[in-house]
Amino acid sequence: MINLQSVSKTYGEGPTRVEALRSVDLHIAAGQFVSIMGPSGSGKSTLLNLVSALDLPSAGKIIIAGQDVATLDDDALTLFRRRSIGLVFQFFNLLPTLDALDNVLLPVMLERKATQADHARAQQLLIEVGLGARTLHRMHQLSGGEMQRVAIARALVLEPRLILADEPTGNLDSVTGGAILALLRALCENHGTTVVMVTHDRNAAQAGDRIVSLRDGCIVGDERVTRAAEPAAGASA
Amino acid sequence: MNTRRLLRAAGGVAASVVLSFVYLAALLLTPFRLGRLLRTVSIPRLQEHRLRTSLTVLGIALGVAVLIAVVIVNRSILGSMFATVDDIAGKADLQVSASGSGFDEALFDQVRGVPGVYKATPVLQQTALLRDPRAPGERMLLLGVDLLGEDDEYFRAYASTELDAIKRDPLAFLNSPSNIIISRSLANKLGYKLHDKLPLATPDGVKDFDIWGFIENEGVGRAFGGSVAVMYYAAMQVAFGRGHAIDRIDLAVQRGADAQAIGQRVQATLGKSFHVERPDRKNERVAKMLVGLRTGLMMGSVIALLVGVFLIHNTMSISVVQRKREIGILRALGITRREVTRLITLEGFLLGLVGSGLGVLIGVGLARVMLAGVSQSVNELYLQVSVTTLRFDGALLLGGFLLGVVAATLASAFPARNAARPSPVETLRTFALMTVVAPPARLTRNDLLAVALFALAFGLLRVPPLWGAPVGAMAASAGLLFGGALLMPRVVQGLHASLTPLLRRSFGLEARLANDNLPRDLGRTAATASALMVGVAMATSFAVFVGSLTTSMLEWIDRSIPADLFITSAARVAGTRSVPMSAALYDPLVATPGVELVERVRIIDTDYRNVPVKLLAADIDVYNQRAKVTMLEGEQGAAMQQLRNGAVMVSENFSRRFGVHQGDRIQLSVKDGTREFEVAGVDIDYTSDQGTLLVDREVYVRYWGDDQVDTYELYLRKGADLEAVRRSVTRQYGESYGLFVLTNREFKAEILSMLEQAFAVMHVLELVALIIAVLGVVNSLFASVIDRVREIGVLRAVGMQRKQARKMIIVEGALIGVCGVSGGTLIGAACGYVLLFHINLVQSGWYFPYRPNWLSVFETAVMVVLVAALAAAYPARRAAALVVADALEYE
Repeated sequence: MINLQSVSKTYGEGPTRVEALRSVDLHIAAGQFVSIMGPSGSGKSTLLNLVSALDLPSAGKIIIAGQDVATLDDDALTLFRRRSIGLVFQFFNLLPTLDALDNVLLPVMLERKATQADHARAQQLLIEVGLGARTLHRMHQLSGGEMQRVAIARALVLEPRLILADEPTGNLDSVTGGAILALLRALCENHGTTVVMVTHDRNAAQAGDRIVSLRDGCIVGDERVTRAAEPAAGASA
Repeated sequence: MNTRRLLRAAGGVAASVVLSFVYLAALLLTPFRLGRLLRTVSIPRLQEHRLRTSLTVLGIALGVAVLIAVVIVNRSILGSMFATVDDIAGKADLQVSASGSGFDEALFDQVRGVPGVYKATPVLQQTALLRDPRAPGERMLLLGVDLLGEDDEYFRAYASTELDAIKRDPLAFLNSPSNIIISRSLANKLGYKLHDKLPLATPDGVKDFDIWGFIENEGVGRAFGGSVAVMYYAAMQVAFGRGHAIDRIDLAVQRGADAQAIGQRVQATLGKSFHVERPDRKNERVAKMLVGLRTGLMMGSVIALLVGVFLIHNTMSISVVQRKREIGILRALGITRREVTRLITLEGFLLGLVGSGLGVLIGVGLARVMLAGVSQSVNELYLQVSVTTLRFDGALLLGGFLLGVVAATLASAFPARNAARPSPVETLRTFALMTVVAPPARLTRNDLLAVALFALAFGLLRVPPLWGAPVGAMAASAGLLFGGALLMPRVVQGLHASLTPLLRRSFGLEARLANDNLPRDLGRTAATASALMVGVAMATSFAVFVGSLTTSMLEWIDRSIPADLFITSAARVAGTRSVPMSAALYDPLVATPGVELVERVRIIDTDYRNVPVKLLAADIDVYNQRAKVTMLEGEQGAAMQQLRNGAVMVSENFSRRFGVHQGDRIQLSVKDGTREFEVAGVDIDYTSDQGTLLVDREVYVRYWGDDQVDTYELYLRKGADLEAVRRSVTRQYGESYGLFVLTNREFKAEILSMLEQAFAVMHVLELVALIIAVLGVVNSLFASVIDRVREIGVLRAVGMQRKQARKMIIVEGALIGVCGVSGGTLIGAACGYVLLFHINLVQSGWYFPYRPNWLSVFETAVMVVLVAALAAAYPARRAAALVVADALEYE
């Protein structure tokens, strides 16, 4: 699903030059749930930005779902992102002017005029994330956990094969964070969706099948997670 | 691409100049804490928002520039006219004048004989059209004076060596009625040499005049912008068909004598209808004649400045909202509320200082551009004037500068007070994304204030004019504008609410998000839309006025002047610029095949109660037969019969201005004194905004001693070929007389074109006001983009394409435009009512039914929305160009 070959990313020039990623090789298979861990400045966010096609590498090749992202222009990249990738942010990043249902429908509405079927699907997704009764609520009427669920529903509405989550539990209490992780896990298991989650929290990282560790722009660890029957139920932010 | 780079470079230079100035001010103020805050807090912020800073300064500069330009233009035109009067009057203590066609020279001896009169000399004065192909349309002031009389020499020095030689041996010069002396500047301009032929339009066609000498560029030689010529007055009477008429007698009183007392004696000798006055009193009458035009221009320029004030208010409001956190930190660190207020106000003051300084410079340049247009309007509508120099002084420029600075300071004082009001805790709150502002359900203080202002405006309309000026109505217009601005938040909310259901279904997500964004920073959107509203209101009220005037005027032409062909000389429509034609043309015109009736029309300037008005003489039988006169008092048939017997008809505006009605008796000056006329009726007549008197041509010739004709109006026989008659007239007389032969349709088109020309300068003012308002849209949307960097980043991250981001911001700009247009059209329609029925009615006395030019209103509305959308293009580009990953991390 995701294939990074000798990917490097540098910012600035001369004395201000920073190497955020150094020749990273990473392969993530379809249907995997991979947690990316590392301390601040290790390159986690840079890696996520590259995988989510928000940024392009300085060197190396990134192939997502068989598509070399470096060959796409901005418009094509945007369309690729819209149709193939679902994004979940730490600060939810929902539009305050839209209600929950319309926030979920946002990628659809960017693609086309939302149909009855799209509305039904968005409604269904909100039910699935436990917000069936709050579809018409505005963002300031929802709690942090509820907003993150809306964000996850938004990420799923166009049925992407890849979900990228940047510290999705970073702004939530432990119980709510655990529920969100369970939701991501369920996506992976029930729908075969590939999930890549960046976190600095080891407990949260345990929700994945794999934990990739970064330090100073290099992969310094790649371990499989062995879990009991109920994965990461008590993960905290 | 190059233009863009150039604009960017210009913007950069402008911002650098502004910042340098603010930095200098900060340095000077360093001993004070405010100065140190200016350097550490304000300058970095102004640097960060260089474009906004530049646009704000430009807005205030344009407002000040327009105001200064209009004052300079007004002053230059009046000054030029006054200077011409002074140059020509020379040492005259008093001048005797009468109606526009002059008076009998026989009266000269009576005046000369009045005890106490030391010197007296007759003067003829008119503008003449040069028929030189090198200078098409060139006009000059032609003076007929008693060159050989000793008295004239006392009044004026001509600075001409040739004239001195003529005086020594005058016979040859006096022998011909076509000898002339012209100013050196005119000769130099067109390359005339001694005894060259100077072709001039006269009532008998184009005639060549023999140049006998030159007057140097001083005294008389510099009158009328240096385009001046002098003839012997008796020769001029012959050459220009003036019979025995003279226009003026210049008088000097004996040394030590009381000029006023002698003036009264002369007045008693001649009668009330003559003007016996100091030359400078004449200036006052001319100034009165132009008061309507000058007031209109001033109002337009004040509105442009007002829009500039809105812009600076808007900018400071945006700045305050974006610096909320910074202000919170300052307050938490111990800066007092008063210091915050002073700091923000000081920023506005400094921006006002730079903007006003720039405005003064632009104003002088703009005055130069506007001068040609305004003086052409004055030439078309009022009197001939040649304005070549701008007249302004330090006091005027300083006044405009200070007005701009004060306006900018006051405009920033309110946002400054708002910035200081919240507690530090409130201002330190952070927002991941901007919160949505819930619309206030209850009436706010601003709503109540707006209603109070509307009520006040209604009350002000009942205030009678002060010193002849509709001050109450002008204040009412200002009240309507400010009331509209206060209600703008409601307009924004209303538009947002009404568009929401539609945009949920149609026009795409971008339009919906743009609409949702409108009320989020209600104050900013409303302030931006208010500036647009003022510009649109100005344009709309003007469309109401011009539309009503034009429709009424065209209807009047259709009813009262239904002639098939109009024949004039030297100008397409009879007026100040035409040259009257000889009455001898009448018979051949009547005899032209296809012509059934010919009406001779003469329009002259005269005075009534010392106020300039127009006297129109026409063949009343033809007029009565063909015109359907709209009578307000009296009945057409009976009134026309009275006119034949020597009565006058007064126009509606004459009646209203002077309180004259049917059956009244009024005194008018005629060629040999004063005569009383009965008023036969009151009719609708749009010949002049000064007021018009209609008399029968026979009566006019009898009492005014002038048989010239300004327009021959031809009525053709049924079935006659219009073009054939036109060709026949043009072929026979067109060349020699320099005739214009216009069909009825062309005549109306010409009237429309003159109106457009007259109002062209107002359109320039409207445009400037709208440009300033559009700068506000750019400012506001930039701020909106900056406030929503993260939100736009999210939208881009989840799949919004650049073009969709651009569309979203552009639609937002257009929606702000729609808000401005909605409010502006309503307020403008109300201001148009005030303009039409209160301001115009007082100034011109004309009543026009309320018939706006809706097409023009619609065009303005569409243009403003499109331009607002266009103004959003640059902020939209910036929004689309955001690096998504960076935007997502933006705080």
